[in-house]
Amino acid sequence: MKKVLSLILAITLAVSTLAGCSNNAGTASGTSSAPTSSAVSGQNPKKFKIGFPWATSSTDPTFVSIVTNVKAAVESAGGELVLVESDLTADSLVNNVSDLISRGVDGIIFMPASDSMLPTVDRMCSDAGVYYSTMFRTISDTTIRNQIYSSKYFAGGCNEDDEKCAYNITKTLSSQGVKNLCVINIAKGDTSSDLRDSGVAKAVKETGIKLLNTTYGITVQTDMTKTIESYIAAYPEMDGILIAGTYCPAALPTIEKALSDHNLAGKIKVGRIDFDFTMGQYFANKSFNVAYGGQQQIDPLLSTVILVNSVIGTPIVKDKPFILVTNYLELTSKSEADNFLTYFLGDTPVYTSDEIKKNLIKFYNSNINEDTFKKTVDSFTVADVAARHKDLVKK
Amino acid sequence: MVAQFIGKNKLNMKETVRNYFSFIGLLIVTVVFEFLTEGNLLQPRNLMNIFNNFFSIGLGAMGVVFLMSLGELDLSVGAIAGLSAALASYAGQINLALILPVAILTGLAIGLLNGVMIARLRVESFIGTLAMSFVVRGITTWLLNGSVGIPVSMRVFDQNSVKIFVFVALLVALFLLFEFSAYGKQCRSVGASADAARQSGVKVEKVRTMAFVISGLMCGLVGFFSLVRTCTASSKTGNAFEFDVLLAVLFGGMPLTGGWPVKFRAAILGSIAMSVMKNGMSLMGIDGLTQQIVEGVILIAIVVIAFDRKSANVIK
Amino acid sequence: MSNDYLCQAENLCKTFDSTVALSNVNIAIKKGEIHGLIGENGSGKSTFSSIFAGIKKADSGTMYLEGKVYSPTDTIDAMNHGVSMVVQEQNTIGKISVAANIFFGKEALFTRAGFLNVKKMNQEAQKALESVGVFHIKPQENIDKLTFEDRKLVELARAFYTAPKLWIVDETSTALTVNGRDILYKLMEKQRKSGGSVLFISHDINEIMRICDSLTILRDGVVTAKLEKKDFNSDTIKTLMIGRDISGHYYREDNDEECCGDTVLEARNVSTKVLKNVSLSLHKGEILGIGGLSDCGMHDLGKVLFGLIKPSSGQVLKDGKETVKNAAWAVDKGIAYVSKNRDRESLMPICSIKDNICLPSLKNIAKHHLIAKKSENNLAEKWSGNLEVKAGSINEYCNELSGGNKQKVVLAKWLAKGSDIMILDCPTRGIDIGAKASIYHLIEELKKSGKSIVLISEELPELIGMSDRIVTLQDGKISGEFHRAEGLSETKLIKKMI
Repeated sequence: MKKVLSLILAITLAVSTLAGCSNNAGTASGTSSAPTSSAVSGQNPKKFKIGFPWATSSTDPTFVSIVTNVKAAVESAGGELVLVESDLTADSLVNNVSDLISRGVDGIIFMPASDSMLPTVDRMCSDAGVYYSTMFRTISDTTIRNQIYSSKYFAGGCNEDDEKCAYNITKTLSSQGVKNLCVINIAKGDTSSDLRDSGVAKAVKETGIKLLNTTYGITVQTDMTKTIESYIAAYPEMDGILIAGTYCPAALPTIEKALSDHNLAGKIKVGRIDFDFTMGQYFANKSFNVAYGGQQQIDPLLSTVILVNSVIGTPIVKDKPFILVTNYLELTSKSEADNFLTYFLGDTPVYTSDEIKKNLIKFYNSNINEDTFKKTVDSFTVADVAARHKDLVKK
Repeated sequence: MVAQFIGKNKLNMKETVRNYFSFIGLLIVTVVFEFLTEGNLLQPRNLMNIFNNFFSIGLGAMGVVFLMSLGELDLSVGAIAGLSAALASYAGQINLALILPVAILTGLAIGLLNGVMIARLRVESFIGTLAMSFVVRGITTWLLNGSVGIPVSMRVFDQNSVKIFVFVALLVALFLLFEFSAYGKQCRSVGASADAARQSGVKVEKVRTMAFVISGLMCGLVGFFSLVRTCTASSKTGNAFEFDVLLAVLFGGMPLTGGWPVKFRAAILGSIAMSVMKNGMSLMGIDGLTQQIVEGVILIAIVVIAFDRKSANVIK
Repeated sequence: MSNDYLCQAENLCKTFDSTVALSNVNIAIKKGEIHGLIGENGSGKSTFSSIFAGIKKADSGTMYLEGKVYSPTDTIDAMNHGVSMVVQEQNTIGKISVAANIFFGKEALFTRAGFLNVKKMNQEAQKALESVGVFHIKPQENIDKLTFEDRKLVELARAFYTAPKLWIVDETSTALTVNGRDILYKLMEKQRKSGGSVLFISHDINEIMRICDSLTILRDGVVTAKLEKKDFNSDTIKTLMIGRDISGHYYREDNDEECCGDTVLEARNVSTKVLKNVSLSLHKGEILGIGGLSDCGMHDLGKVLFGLIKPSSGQVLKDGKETVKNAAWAVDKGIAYVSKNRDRESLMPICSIKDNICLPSLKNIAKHHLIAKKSENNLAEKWSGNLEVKAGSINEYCNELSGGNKQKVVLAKWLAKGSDIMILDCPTRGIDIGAKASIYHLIEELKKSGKSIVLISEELPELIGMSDRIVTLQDGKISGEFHRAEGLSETKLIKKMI
């Protein structure tokens, strides 16, 4: 009896696996929407689904606000957001993309973990007729970039000039008096990491700051504390710490605590790329000095908007992916930080669904083009969001 | 004769449940999730997703069957896969043809180290392989310092036909080795009673070492396939893989104490069930933490139902 | 019931599922008597003792203790009535001290206001140990550090401390060495002198005849006879136990030592922790007996000959040429070893008869490195059949077999391998008469077919009855050598052992 059962099970599995094998290309998922012809105003685009692999278990306000903004973009054209949990490694992301495709999404927005995972994603999406776009990253490798940029299903995405940003913030720190700098960056191999490194290097060369040390890939608070403490111990001449990037949650408070434990808060200048919701208090007591960021909401939002436009048949740029460079905003005061907290990290996205629908969805307004987006990016500041949403958001 | 038949009937019931448990469990899981995902589970395209997940867990599970029949554990499987992927990707910078051999050799080498440590230096396998996983992961992180990519042309190996072929070939080979070769029977004998096996002429230390080598080899392959799927090796490759494998074999009804009750099919059925479960939960949109809770609850249920807890020890 | 009797069992019946364990059993034990209970495996003696000690309940029948109806609810209840039992298996509780074991369940005696007075408990434990004649065990020692025998002695101390009226000793003597048995017999004497009684259950006919005042014989759950000491006769008892006459055909029938062939296995100046410069040779077709007191080193010698223990100096040679390197090498070259620790070393208990038998022969029956189920089945069926292993099928697990059958499986394993040299360590320990007889017969057949056998045993009659030549060990050294002869007696051997 055991043998019969195992034989039946084995045969069933083999048959269905082989069936799946031959049946691979687009037939199965059902709702791959081909690009329809251009919009007729007054109507609404066909219902669609956008998949988003993200660290949904994180409660960090920045992580949550990213979801809020992506959602706003998706719903502005009447779509549905499909969230899946991911630990954001290349392995998981590839599996997430595969799962999302099975769930019949029409487009996928994600943050790539590396350049080399993109061809795999491209193959899967192209086979299934699913559009995709990226957020926060460029592609450094030329071969891969050429391949992806010529893919029909790559809608584009936003990224920041990481190098320029790192260059600017280092120069600002220098103007604030920093002469000996330690850096904390995200793991090597991540394109942003490399770009920020070179930005810092450029600024350091120009300003004559001494770059003491860089640590990569800290993701846990205890490791952060240890790193800061070893910097303090090894470099008594250190007068500036730049957090060029980290996935460590509550990074700023952790560092501030380490500094204040050693009575160095306020004496060592601290700067950070990527805003932090705790910035305000540290600005106030002058232990935190400059932050570059604000792109963490606009980037995913606009990346998703680009994707949505392609999915509903009104791509912003025809036959080419739309790559948009978004700016970093500079913050140096408590009031700016407070505004940031209220308007960027609250429940409201930096552009509401209605605002997006009116200004950025080509389906409803065929005059929208690349320039519209570039103008949006240029006019985007903390003050701008505060002005637009001051009646919307409860303080 | 008289009085020896006490409790024999009770024993049979439990044996029956245990024997069929893996089949029943798999059937239940499949039916439940097919229902909960409104039929999406068994769509052909999704079956390929399940297969992809099942592929690595299945390879890992088949690899550990031998050492589990000895009553040992291998908690370094994830770390070995990670290091294999890392070294292979570096080898790929030199020559593409080196990627597969380097991955396999790395797995073999670490497996051999594990084997020597546990069989000859007599380190407890739970602790020994755990320590090894720290060391190996540390080396991987230090080597990679982030992530390293390999040329996209290697992705040709990620095809389903290649994977199915490799999987079936390994399945047949390892199945025959476990069930029908002298080595497989010797493994189970040592697991049943190392003293008795030794006194029957079994080379106990060689058998034990070999089991870890087999596990290492399979992990090397897992590392290779992970590498060609994403064309990236990172220090996170293989993260928590050992728990997926352990859960899978337990789900398939593998007794931790080893010996003759160990059946090869536990590895296969358990891996399929695990993949179906994980995939089903993904399809249902359940987030990562809840998935963990569900897996934990199911594991406890399995232990309560199917295990002979009187003789089971996790750490001997 | 007359006043002479301490306790009685009337028409006791017990059935397990479909098997009848006891059928209308009547047993009466007098005050101040050592009453023996003997029977083959499965005759019901353990069932009876467990009912009397409160472990199990009879289906029907009545028990009396000192004239009153006696029906204990559990072992503690039985102990409170004055009935306590010591068994064959290990019954101490690990990880705690000797004293804690002796007073397990009775800690209240030493507890005041929630605190256990360990010192007082240890003192009492010391007294308890001394009262049973044990002086070498310290009460505060961790029980896990003690040998099996010493642990048994602790159990004796525990059982005796309660000054039982009826003391049941179930097969305990087989687990003890000569020293231990001495202590046991002295205790039973003491019990008898103080007016209490002992129910002594054993396999060993000689022992029973020596010690008991009267005897009940069980066969298949039924009392076949009751004998008083004056009627004790070895052959009669054997027959009543088995139901057939095996008198005379027990050990080897011949009394000549055959002149044997070349040396097949030799120990040259072997020394280990226990053995001191031991040299001996085994010849082809010879049965070489090795005897001595329990810790004389003979068990170690067996392991050294097989390659399990590496001697610190000296070597073991096969056919005068090759050194025995390890067990795997030995097995490959045709040497077999049967350990005295059957369940832990000779057999895999949670494993089928078939797999146990085939284990050393796996490479021999493999074709192209794979082993067909048919080949395994054939080999196992053949040899378990030849040795008449009583079991449902060869797929049955060995832990369900009786001691005798287990040993037959072990021997079948080596015969299936075709080993020519067999080292047997206490091969008939804990086995009932019927199975013992068949094993002796088998050993004789093996010798006749040219196999060479080393027989290590603590049973002198066995050594004398079976060996061509006997070597005695004393304190790790060879003390004497005897050849097979009509007039060889135990006394002569014992002289060389002590």
